[in-house]
Amino acid sequence: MPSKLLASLLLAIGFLVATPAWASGDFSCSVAWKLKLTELSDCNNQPYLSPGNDSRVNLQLLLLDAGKARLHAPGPPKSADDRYPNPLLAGPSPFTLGDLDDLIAPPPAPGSSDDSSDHADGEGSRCNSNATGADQFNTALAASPAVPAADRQALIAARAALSPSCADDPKAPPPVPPPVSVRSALGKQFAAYLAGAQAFYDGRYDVAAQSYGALQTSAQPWLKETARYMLGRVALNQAQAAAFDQYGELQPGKAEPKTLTEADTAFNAYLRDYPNGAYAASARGLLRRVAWLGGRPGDLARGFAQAFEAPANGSVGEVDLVQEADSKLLTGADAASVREPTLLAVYDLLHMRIADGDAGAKPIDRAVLEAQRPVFASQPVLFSYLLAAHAFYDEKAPAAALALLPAAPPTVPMSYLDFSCQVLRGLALEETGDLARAHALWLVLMPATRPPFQHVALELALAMNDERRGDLAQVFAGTSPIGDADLREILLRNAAGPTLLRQQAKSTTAPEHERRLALYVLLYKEVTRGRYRDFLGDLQLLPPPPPAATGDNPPAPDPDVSPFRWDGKADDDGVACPALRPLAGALARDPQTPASLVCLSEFVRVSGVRGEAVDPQPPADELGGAPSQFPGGPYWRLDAYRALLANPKLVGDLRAYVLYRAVRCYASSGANHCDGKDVDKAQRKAWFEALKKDFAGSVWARQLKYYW
Amino acid sequence: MRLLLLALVLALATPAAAAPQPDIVNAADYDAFWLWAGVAPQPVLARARSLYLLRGQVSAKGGAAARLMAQGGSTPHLRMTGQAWIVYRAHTLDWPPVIYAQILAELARWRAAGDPVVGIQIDFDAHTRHLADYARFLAGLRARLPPDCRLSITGLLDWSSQGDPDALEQLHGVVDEVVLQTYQGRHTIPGYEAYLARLDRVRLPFRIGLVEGGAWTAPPSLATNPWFRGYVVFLTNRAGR
Repeated sequence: MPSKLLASLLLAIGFLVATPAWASGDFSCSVAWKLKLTELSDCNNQPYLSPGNDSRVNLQLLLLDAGKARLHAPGPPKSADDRYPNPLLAGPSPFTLGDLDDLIAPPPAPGSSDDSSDHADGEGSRCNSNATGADQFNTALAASPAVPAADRQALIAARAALSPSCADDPKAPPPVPPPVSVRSALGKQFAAYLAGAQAFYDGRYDVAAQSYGALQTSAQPWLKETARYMLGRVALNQAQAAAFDQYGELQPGKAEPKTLTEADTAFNAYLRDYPNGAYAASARGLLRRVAWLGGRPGDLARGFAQAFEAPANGSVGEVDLVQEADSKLLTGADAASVREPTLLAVYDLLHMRIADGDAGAKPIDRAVLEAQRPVFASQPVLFSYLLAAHAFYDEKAPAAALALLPAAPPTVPMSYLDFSCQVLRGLALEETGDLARAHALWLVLMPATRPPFQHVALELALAMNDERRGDLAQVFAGTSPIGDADLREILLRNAAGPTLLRQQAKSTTAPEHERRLALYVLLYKEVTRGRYRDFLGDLQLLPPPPPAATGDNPPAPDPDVSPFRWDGKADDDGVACPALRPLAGALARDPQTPASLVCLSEFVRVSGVRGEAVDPQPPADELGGAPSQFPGGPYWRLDAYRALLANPKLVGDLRAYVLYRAVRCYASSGANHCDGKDVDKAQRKAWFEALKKDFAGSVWARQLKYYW
Repeated sequence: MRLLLLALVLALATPAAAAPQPDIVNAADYDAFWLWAGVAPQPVLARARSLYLLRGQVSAKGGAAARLMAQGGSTPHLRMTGQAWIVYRAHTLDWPPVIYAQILAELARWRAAGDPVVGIQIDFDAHTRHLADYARFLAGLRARLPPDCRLSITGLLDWSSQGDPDALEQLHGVVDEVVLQTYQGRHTIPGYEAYLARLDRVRLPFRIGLVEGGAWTAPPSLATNPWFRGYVVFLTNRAGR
C-alpha cells in the first residue's frame, strides 16, 4: 500500500478519534496543523517562541538569534525506515526537536572515529576519563627527560595496567595498586600520580586526595596542573557520594556541603590559574555539576549562559549543552533564581503551558513575570513578548497582547524573536476577530522570512485565515504564496466545495497529485451526498484506466481513483449491483429507489474507496477544521442501513441483506466498524431475530450465525 | 492487509457512545512502573515488583553516528526485591558497536551495585510497516546480551491490529515480553478499545502499558488471554519540557 495513502488513511483515524490530526502512521506522535500550540508534542514545534514548543526548541531559537547557534545545510536524507517520526513530514514546519538539532549540530568531521568509552555521553561517572587520562600521562612522561628510561617503561606499564572497576561495589576487596619500582625523584612523582588515579577510580577518595595534594607543588607542569584539577574531582565525588536516591535520581540537599564547597573552590582556583588549561572546559562543566548538586539554579544558569557564549570552549557541543540545560535547570528551577534572560525566557514559556494534563497545574502568574522586568532590562522586546504571550495564552486577552507587541513592520530578515512578535500579533488579531488585518499581516511578513522554517509557518497561518474567511479560492489562485502540498491537500480534502474541487481537478498548472486528489474528493462527496447529476458530469474527468500491467505491478498513483471505475461486483458475499456509472444514472433519475441505495452502500463497502480519508473534519482549531464548504454531510454506512430499514419499500431479499449487513457492522469485536451512530445491542439482536424469523430461508439468514 | 486496515479505520470511527465510563489509572493500584529521568520518585515505588528505569537515549544528530546519551543521575542502588529493567529509548536502530559495549558495561555496573536487573528494554517506535527490520535488529541485540539478561520491548498499540503477523512471529524467541503502550504523550489513546479487541493476534508474552492519570477499562477477554502478563504504569509529574 503506498505510504501516502496509508498516511491519509491514518490521518483519517487521527481526525475521527479527535486526536490532533495527522497520525504519523503510528501513535508515536501526530501533527497538529495549527500555529497556536498549547500542548507539548514531539511532532509539533513551530519556529516561534511558544509555550507549546519543546523548551529546547525555544532555547535554540533564542540562541540562533544571539548567534550562539548556527543552522547549516541539511545533510543527506536518512533512510525512511530509520526516522522519527515516520513517515516524514513533507515540509519543514512543524518540526521535531531532532529535525532542528540535525541542522544545528555540526556534521561529523571527516575521519572522526567512535570514542570507546564504556559510558554513555553525559553520564556523570568519574571513570569516563580513564582512556584519555592514559594518553595524557604517557605524553607527559615522554616530555620529562629527567625520568630515566627504565622508570619510564615501568610507569607506562603501570598506567596501562590501571583498570578501574568503578562498580562502586562496597563488598569488593580494595584493589592493590600495581607495584611500581622507580628510582628517580620525578619518576616517584609520576608513580604517586598513578597511586592517586588508582585510588580515585576505586573510590578511595581520601587516599586520592593525599596523592594529588602532594603533587600540587610539583615542578613538572603536567603533574601540577592535573593534580590541581583532580583535587576538584575528588572533592566532587566525595560530595555526591550520598546525593542520589536508590533510583539514581538527585535528592535535593543531599550533597555533602563541605566537600562540595571544596570542589567549587578547587575548580575556580584551577580556572583562575589555567584559564586555557587542558582541563578548563571540563572544569567549567563540572562547576555546573557542583551548582546542580548544590541546588543553586542561579549559579547553574550563569554557568550555562557562559557556556553558550562560547560553546566551542566547552567540553560538550551546543546541542548537548541545550539538552543539559533543559534536564538539569529548566525543568526543575524556580523563576526567582534564574537571572539569565535567555534561560529565564525559556523557563517562563515552559510555565505558560497550561494544557498539560496534570490536574491543578497552574501557569506562571503575571505578577511573577512582572517582577522579572529588571532581568530583561537589556532585552525589552523579549520581555514584552513574554508578557504578550502570557496575555494571549494564559489570560485569554488577545487585545492586551496586541497592545504589548510592536506594530511596526518587521526588519528584514526577521530574527526568531521578531518573527515571534509578528506571529503572535497575527494570532491575537485573529482571536479578536480581525481576520482581515491578520490576513494583511501574514502577507506582509512572507517576503521577510528566513529559511527554512518561517515561510511554511506563515503559509499555515494564511491558509487557516483564508479558510476561516471563506476565501479558499485565494489559496488556489495562481498568485497564491501557499505552496505547501500538505496544507493544500488538507484544504481540498476537508474544506473545499464542489466548484473549487472541480477547478483543481481540471487545472493545467496544479501538480498531478493535487489534481487527482481534488477529483477523488469531488467524486466521492458528490456520489455519497446525492449530487448524482454533477457526479455523472465530473466522471468525465476520470483518466483512462492504466494499461494492464505485466510482471511487477507498479504502485497505483496516489490517490488511487480506480474505485470510481467500480464494476458493481463484490469479491465477497454482496448483492448484484450495476457498475457505478449506471448506478449513479439510476439514482439521478430516482434517488430513493431502495435497490440503488443498497448498491450505493455496496460501492462504499467494497470498491476500495476511502470516505474515511476525506469525510471527517479535523478539530475546529486546526487547518481544515472550519465547516466544510461542500454541502451535505459524511456518508456513514450504518446510518444508511438504518435509513433503508426504516423504508417500508425495502423488502424481500434486499431487506434480508441490509439486516445482515447492519448486524455485521458489529462483527466480531462488538465495535461498530461501519461508521455512523451506534445502536445498542438490543437493536442488533432485534435485527438478527428479524432476519432469522422473517427471512428464514434466505441465504443471508443462513450465513449469519451470531450477532455481536 | 488493505481490508484489515479499512476495518481498523472503520472500527475507530465509531463514536464510543455506549462505552462504560473508564477508570482513571491510579498508580497505587499497580505494582510495575516506568520511571523516567526527571520524574520524581513517588511512594508507590516502594511496593514495586517491577521497575523499568530509563537510562539512555540513542540518537544521531547532524548525520553523525548514533550515540548513547545518558538520562538520569547515577547507578541506582535499588532496595527492591523484584525485577529491574534498564530502559533505552532509541530514535534510530543504526547502532555503532560502541553502544552495545556501553549497554553491556552499564548492565555489569548495575549488577555489581547489587541491583536486581533481569533485563533491558528497548523503547523504539517501530512503524508497523518496518516491524520485520526491527525484529532483525532485536535478534542482533539478543545475540550480544548475556544469556541471563532478558529482552523487553515497548510496542505500539496498532501492532496488534496492523502489524504483519510474520514479523510479530519473528519476535518470538527474541524478545521475552512486549509492553504495549496505550497512551501517547500523557493521554490514553482515544479508541484504544478497538485495538485491544485484536490483541488475540499477539502471540507473545505481553503487558499493557498505562499512563498514570489516563483512562483505562480492561477488555473482558484480557484476563483470560494466556499471553497477558499484567500492567506497567508510566509515572508522571508536572515537570515537562
